[in-house]
Amino acid sequence: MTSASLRLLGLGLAVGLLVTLRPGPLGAQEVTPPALKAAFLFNFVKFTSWPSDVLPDTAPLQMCVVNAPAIGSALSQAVQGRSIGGHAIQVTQPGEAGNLRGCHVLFVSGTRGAAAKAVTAVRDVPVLTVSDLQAFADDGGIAQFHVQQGQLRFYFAVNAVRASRLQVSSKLLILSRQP
Amino acid sequence: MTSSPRLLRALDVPARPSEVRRSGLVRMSYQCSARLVLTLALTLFLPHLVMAQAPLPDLSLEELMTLDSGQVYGASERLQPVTEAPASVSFITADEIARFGYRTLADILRSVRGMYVSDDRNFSLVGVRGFGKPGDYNSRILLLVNGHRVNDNVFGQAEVGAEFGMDAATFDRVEIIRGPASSIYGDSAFFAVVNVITKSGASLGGGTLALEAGTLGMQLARGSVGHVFANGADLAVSGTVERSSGNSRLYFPAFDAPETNFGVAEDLDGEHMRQFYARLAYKSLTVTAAYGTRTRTVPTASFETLFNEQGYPEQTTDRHTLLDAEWIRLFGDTRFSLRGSFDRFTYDGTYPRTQDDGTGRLVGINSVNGVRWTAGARATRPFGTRQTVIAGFEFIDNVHQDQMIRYIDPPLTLLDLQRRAQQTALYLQDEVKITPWLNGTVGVRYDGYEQFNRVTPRAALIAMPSPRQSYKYLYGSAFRAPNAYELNTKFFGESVVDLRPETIDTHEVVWERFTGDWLRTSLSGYWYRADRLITLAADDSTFLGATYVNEGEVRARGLEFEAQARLWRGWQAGGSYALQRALDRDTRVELPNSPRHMVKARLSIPGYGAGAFVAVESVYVGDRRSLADVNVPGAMTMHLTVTQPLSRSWALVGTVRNLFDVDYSDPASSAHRQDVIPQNGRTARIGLRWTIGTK
Repeated sequence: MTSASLRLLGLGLAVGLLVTLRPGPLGAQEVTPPALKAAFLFNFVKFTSWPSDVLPDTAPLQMCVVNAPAIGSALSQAVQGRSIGGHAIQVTQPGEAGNLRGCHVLFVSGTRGAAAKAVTAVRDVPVLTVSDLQAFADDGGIAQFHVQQGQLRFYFAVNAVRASRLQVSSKLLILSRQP
Repeated sequence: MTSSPRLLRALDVPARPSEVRRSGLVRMSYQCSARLVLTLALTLFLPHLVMAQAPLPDLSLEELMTLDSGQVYGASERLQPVTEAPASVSFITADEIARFGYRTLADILRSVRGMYVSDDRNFSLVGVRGFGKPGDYNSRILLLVNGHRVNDNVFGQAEVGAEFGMDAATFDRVEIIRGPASSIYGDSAFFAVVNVITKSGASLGGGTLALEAGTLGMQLARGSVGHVFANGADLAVSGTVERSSGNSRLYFPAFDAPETNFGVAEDLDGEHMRQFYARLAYKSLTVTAAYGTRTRTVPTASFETLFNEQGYPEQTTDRHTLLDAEWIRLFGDTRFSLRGSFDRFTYDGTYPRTQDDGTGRLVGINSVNGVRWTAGARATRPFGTRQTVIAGFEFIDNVHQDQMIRYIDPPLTLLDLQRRAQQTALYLQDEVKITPWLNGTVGVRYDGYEQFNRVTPRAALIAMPSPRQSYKYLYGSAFRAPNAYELNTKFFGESVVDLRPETIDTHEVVWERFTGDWLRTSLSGYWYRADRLITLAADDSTFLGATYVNEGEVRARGLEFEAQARLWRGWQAGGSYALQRALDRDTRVELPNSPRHMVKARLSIPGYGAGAFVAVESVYVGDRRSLADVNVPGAMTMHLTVTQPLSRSWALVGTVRNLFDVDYSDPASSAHRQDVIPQNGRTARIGLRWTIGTK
């Protein structure tokens, strides 16, 4: 083989690769954890229905973030210009002591104590409570994030879903992974 | 038959199986291959660079679940975002290991920013931050398996080639944490920590059988099973056997004489490996077991052994056993971990040589038996939303640090040394959110050895003006304690009992940035001073004619840049550049085996059908100096891996390494008569994989 034929081989390879270009699954990439969690939260909303008394048609959907400013701002950015089922999305960061009962989705982080308090505050309202704290489902929360093999996974506590008056699509329950 | 520096293991250098060019194939000049790489990269890359990936919120849940969460464990013994970790971190995932056809940890580290691996056709020596002294074992990087130390307790060596004893197919993720980390891990976390996270049953996902064959008589068979039982127990089991006969003829000019077969080593380049891995996780308990053995014939006649010896060829066998149990529970917000581990490392080297009077052959067997028990406890607790404290305790009992040298035929034991040593350590680290955008980390660790104590600090200040970028200032100190091998008074005389740990102080500034959802860039600059380096010095009064002293001092600085991009339609690209300069403080001369420049690039493209990939990687390591102060020219090598599923359960995988058959060498250690060791030319392997069960 001469170096010219090797160059040709290289070019052939390049062209070959271009031709084989097809859409495929995404692989291991790096995205910031807050942006990733925000994207999951946005997706959760797509597959959850709220009773019409708490979320009338065309009313804005409230997503509240407590003790996680990075996720709050990532979520604000994620929902910008997007709506779901005719509902505009509003992101607020009410703080632990704030009123959480108007939230439709409540993401809470920080300590277990703070998370448990937030869950208790919205116990009788249909709020999708989510956290990245490890024992959140044990503490009465509905959904929790965890990391498996470097990838973000989520777990929906079925009993908590049932108790909540929320309708969660089976898609979420199928993809749900026990931590 | 007394003084035998040739039996010194610590004087030889690591390496990987390799092969050498066949005559007749064209040698590519590196300029030519560089041009090719450039052409390839430009043709493939540019048109797509502008078409960035869909924004994250528009991805489906399934797609989101394939993304890496960008978190690292090994920087602080807890999972945290890379941008918040008090270190400059890279990681390689199982997907990338498969796509790029990496077979060993050495292959993986070669692809990583700022690292280079030299191969002496026996062991693999890792160079990092310009430091890769030929003849040193990898005792200045810390190798962890799931956070547990696996550097052996005699040489302190992190074995990264096939000798590591674990199959890269069982790795879930490899974290590379740059900079000193002795404030968490103690000994050996000097330049970097490499944390291998192994696969669970869930990540193995079903059963796989793989058969591979390749050039140089390479054959491999692997079987693995992963399952999650209804009760939640997660089990992974994997076993691999692999052999290769290597190059049938290797030519070494240093031995080109009639009495040494004109410099040709015939059929002395083979190796065989057996690897077993199992992991069981149930509720709070995770138990990991691994055993690996590698036997390699050494063609280089290192340590003044007989060249081209066929009866008792120079040969080394490394065996690693690991048993590790970790129990983790949450009490309130506090996460407790209790851990107990057993490690065993044994080594046998066969060293054929001539009798001192020049008559007849003498075969020396050099053996090592290292056994270690480790018990550790750790608590991680957040205080409010602003502070996380990690406190830990570790006790290590090195029950065996035994070395033996004997001759066979006639049998004679020269040395039978049995030793034992214990260590205790305590560490504490506090991470504080000073303001919403400013994090501080301070840490300190105390290590108590029988001869000395060490206190090692760390401090980091991390500013995050937005979650998408961070600026880090990192200060770290680290030490490497003299290892049992260096402390052997029978070899090196009584003076070695006064050896003290060598130390390093590093300052580093890092800028990490995410652009959109598709590009991650990192720029870092570092400066370090390494003092009291444990260095071999001539001393006629000792058994081996040499001793170890705390003498070397090195000053170095460097700049590293890395970019990783997630492009259109599943394309992924990455590249890095490292510029470094490491000097001996007294002579102001650059260290041997210390390339100034390194450039790496990778590209992975989806092929036909789901799970099909074409992955190309190219690695350039710049000019280095050999021990004899000769320039070892830089070389660019390129590797190609194609993964093609044939049906639901069958897939074909092919890898060509050194695609353009580039002729290059690595600097040799003083244990070699050769000044450089030639590396393999083009090699190829092809494999068939059968998978059952779903992933």
